[in-house]
Amino acid sequence: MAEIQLKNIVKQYPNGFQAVKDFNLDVKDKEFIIFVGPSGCGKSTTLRMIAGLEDITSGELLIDGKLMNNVEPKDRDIAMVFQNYALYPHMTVYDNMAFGLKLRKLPKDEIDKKVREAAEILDLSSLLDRKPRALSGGQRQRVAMGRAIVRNPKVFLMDEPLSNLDAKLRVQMRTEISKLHDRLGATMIYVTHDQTEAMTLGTRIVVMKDGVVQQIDTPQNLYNAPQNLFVAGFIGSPQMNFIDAKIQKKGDGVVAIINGDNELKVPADKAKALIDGGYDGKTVTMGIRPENIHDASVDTEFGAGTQFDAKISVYELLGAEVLLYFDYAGSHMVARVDPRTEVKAGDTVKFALEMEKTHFFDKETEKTITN
Amino acid sequence: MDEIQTLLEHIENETGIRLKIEDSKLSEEETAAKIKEVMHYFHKNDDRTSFLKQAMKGMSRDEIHQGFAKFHMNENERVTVFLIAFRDHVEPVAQSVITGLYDPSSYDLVQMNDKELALLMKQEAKSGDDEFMALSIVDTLMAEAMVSVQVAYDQEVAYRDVGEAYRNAATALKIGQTFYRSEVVYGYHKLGLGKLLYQLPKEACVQYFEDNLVTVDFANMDEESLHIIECFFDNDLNIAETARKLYLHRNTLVYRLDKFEKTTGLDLRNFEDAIVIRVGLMLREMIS
Repeated sequence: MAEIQLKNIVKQYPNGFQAVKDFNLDVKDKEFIIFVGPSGCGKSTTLRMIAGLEDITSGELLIDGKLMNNVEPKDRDIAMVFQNYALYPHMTVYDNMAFGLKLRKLPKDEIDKKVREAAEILDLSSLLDRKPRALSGGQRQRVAMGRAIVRNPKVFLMDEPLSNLDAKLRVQMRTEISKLHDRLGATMIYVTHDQTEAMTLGTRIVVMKDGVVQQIDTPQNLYNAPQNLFVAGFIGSPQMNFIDAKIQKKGDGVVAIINGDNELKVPADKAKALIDGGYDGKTVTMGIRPENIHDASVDTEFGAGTQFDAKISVYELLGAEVLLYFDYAGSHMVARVDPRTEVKAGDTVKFALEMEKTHFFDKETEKTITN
Repeated sequence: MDEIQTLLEHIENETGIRLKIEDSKLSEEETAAKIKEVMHYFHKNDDRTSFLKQAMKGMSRDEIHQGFAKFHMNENERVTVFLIAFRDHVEPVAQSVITGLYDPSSYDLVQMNDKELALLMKQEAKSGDDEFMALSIVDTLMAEAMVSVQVAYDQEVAYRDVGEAYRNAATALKIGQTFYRSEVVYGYHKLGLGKLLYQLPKEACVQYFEDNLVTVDFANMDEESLHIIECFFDNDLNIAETARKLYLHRNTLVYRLDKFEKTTGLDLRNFEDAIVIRVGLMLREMIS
């Protein structure tokens, strides 16, 4: 059992800089939580406060209901894995995993049991007598994980553990970590700046910016229903396209006017939210994901009131899809279209927007008006 | 058996290492003699450590030369000094982790005071560059010993010059803690502007503010704006790159920069103005 509660957590440095502001989160037992955000957003600082490596300026940290603010890191029953891990080069895999337990003066037979169990989980049993230099990158990473697992902690904290690995190994280890979470059934908190890693690993994701939590949600909800412009832009790759749109009632409906003259029909539910919110006649930010912009010559189901023309600046064939980059109404945009398209760089293309999939944001507050 | 027990306790008191005798085929006298040998080796080694500590804190060239001869050390051998600074005090468990990381013949580990260890790493034993090694020390100590440290280092020097290397690493630590607080590793030769500004007297800093920054109210500037400015500097005044890193719309960033120019008269997109602000922000850290 390991439930973690962070209540109004603040980290302020002596010069007054607040790295983390009023952070609130309840982590359920066995949950896999991801902290994600750009560099300097406070995600690692929060993790280090949970670990006890950084003092909490104000607020409460509870693990299983027990206040932990002033408990020594070693007494918090947690284990950590970091980016720049180093294995003990002169020790075998077995001794690498056992070393931390020896430092804690655990009995020899207990150490042996824990190491062999961890090796089994990590598929390292046949490598226990090897030295680190005889291991592959992935195997070394698993040994580093093993050093955390042998402690049998209540909580695992991981701070960008895959950042030093090459792209292929990263993907492979991502799957391994996911499986590991299922096998161990432990509570895990994982820090990354990589939104793809966050989306594929977490059961819930905490998106942070400038020390402030922007949204805590499932990967699906973050993608489909971002609460503000930052989350909308951060989650998803390529990122969501943003464009200024003037909202205006027209007949029975509502249109979003782009570039002064192109009128796009806003679906009824979104139109209602915009009008109820007092945006009639105002300019808002309209967001649309690349996969919701179609080549109208291939995807023909989108009719009038959804289309516009743009000249392609870059064509990227990724195999199963094509990315088309273009400028429209002063914004750099990208569409992810069907590879059957015959469009090439320099062509002018008629695009169709899936208006049901658009998002609208307030230009001032950057909060979502409607998803 | 009493004598052995007394010797083992003595070792534990002096070194913090607890030894146990198991399945020994030696007689009690022989065992006691072996333990005394270990103690002798420890004291001999301890003398070497004391010498290196003194060499780093300040010794004459002659004394250093004699010391290296006495301990049969090659004073021309190349080493890098890593200064490991603990938040509260040097943790014995951290020392065990560090000694586990490297071949015993490849380094000396010297406790400089109650908060700092100096790791003198021989050139041929180093794996990867110095920065990576320092980061590895930080991360491994956090993961294995649950201890938070900062590491400063100087460039590789001849053993006889460890005093200078240690002083440079100590300076790097102070500069890093002043200007680059979010980082945990500081290389003396990678401190850039911070190293230069650190040497300025306080009066010169105050004068700088009066001469150049009367229009800028740093004290009341919100943190988000400061963060955006710093990120803009870190990305070489590149608007597109900064907007991408901050996940801001390009137009939002431009709006913020325009707003800053309107209130201060300083355009951050202009290199000269950017320098004025960059130096001002750093001096503010130093003065505070």
